[in-house]
Amino acid sequence: MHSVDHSVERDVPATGCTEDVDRLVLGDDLESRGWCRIAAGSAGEPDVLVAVDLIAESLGQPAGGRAGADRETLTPRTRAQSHARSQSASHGLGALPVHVELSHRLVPCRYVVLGCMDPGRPTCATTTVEWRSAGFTPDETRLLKAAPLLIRNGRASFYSTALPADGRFLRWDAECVEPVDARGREAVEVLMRRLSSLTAERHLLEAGEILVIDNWRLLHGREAARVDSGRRLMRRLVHG
Amino acid sequence: MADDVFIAISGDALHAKSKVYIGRAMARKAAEELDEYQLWASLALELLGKAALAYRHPSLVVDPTNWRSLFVAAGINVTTDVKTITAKTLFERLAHLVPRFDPVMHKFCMDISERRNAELHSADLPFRGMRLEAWEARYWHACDAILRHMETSLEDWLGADAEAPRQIVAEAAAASDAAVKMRVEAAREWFAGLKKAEREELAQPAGGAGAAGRGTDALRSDRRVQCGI
Repeated sequence: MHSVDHSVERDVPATGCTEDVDRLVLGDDLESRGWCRIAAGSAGEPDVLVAVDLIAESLGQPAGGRAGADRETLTPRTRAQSHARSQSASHGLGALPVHVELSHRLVPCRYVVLGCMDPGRPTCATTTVEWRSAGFTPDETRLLKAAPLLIRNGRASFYSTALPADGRFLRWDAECVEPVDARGREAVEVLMRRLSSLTAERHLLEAGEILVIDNWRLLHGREAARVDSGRRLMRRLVHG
Repeated sequence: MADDVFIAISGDALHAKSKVYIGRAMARKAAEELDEYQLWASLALELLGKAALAYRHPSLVVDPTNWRSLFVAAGINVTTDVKTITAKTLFERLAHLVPRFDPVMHKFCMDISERRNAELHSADLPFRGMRLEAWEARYWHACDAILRHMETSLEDWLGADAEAPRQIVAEAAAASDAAVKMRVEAAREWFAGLKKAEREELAQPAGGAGAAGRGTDALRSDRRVQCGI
């Protein structure tokens, strides 16, 4: 996958008052490109946490992450330190491939809100790609809507498809989506080939910045990181 | 809210699982293991029927005598042990939801479901003695009726797209052909069961002159709904 730096940031000027987060600006940017970046009141951790909460609550209901946690702190982890069947368990400190968050739920969450508490040194970028830009042919779209796939989630596993009938989101995370037949294998091959041809946008966050991702429109990943870099993000997942 | 549906009674998950099961059925047919073909096919039919009901509303597939399951269908997760309806209730409900799901189709689905129960829960081998000609065409006919109601097709269900293996494409074409023949046969039987005057009226050319012609067209339309064509 190619990548481009995304230095253009849609900052809301830091005012020291996180209640000033402008829902309309948030909505416009999310609408136009599927993500937006917002500055918290300050780079201090308390302001970041408050801003993440305010933004998440303005977007919808909490979706709950691992073990139902509303708030999760993300840090680079080695394979040994990672939760089983997580991206880090497979890729460790290497680049985490783009995926749709909560692909193992019947409906993935609508938004991912990431608040940067520490970008780390050296820092690494969060990456995003827009799946509708992948150029799926009508036959490929039909295949993605029809081919059954196993969605692994322990006792809550189920069968589904990469695209629902209305095509409102994509379901893709190599850690939990598996083909069960020839049709499914073809669907997964199409997905991997098309997604790998996309140019990723790189989001190098600074302390105090919030990145909001429309999870139904974009897949996201992370570049390779160092375990001792100190990178720390606060994450909240939101139903639309 | 549709997005909060419990997995066990999700229309999408039931539909996808029915595709996996009919895929297993077709694999058993290709291996000439015809009793297992019928077993997987019967399971796929039941899942497909439940998918059709669940798409309308998840409460249609939960056991109405189990209040916890009803709560789950209403979006209140009070248990993870959701009880679903029996095959008998499923096919009774489909008869109300799917216009083409007529009494003949209903009886066929109950029969295959009872054979499945006997196969799984007794020492009997009811599938072993069944010839393909005795059930396969009616099976595709029933599936076709449900799939059309769901605004999809046998080809989609079986995965018979342009890139599919030739055998799957051929099986899907044969299934579709069998479904059409059964549909014609069902219409023929229904027509033969009408009173003579009704048959003569329906046999008149469409769009006849004047009020009488319009009345015949209305009757024709009404009758087409009744016989499910």
